[in-house]
Amino acid sequence: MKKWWRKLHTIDLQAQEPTAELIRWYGRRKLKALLRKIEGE
Amino acid sequence: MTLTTSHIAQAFREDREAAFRQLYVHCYPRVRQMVLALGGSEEAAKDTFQDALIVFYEKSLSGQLSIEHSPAAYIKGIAKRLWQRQRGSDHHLLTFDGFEESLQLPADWGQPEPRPKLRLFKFLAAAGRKCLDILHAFYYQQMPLRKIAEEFGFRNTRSATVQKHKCLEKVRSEIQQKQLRYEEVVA
Repeated sequence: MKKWWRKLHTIDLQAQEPTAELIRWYGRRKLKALLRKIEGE
Repeated sequence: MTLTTSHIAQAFREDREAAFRQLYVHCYPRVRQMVLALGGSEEAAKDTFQDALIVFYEKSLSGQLSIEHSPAAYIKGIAKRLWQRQRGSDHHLLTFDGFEESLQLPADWGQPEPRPKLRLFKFLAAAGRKCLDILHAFYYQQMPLRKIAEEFGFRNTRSATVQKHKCLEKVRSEIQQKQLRYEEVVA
């Protein structure tokens, strides 16, 4: 996986708010899927 | 597009997909042209553009957008920085080509140490996808609880609020129980 993509799409569960990190990761992942869908149309 | 930052955030909240479609039409050709001109591939252009849109989206919802010219120019700026960062992170890497073969390196050379890995999707399954969808809708998409209640089939806003709270506790407890480490959940 590319480093720049990793940075945007991975989570740091050792962060102060791991739950928030997880939700953000999940959100970005869903968003990426939506954008791929739009791109494919 | 002549939109203010508040209009953009509102457009994302009202119909995220439609807003992204509009941005795709207006902005992607420019970002694609830029990435290709900077030596990137078609695939890299798509990836960079999508990541730039994600950054743009998060900034708009958190009120951190500061657009001087146009959303298209702003997104292009983000994409350029993402692309430059990516180029900067691997431009020093050289390919070995035939030289690498002549070294006769062991097959597992350079491979990461084997260790038990917990894929994030397994964790998601344990925490419950619906729960994460609810939390995602509230915290990431900033969807109002009234709309969450409609979309997820709750009787009223109160039920949605209670469920959201339960979900948050469930996810927190999952994280604590599993003592997840950063390396273990990289998908």
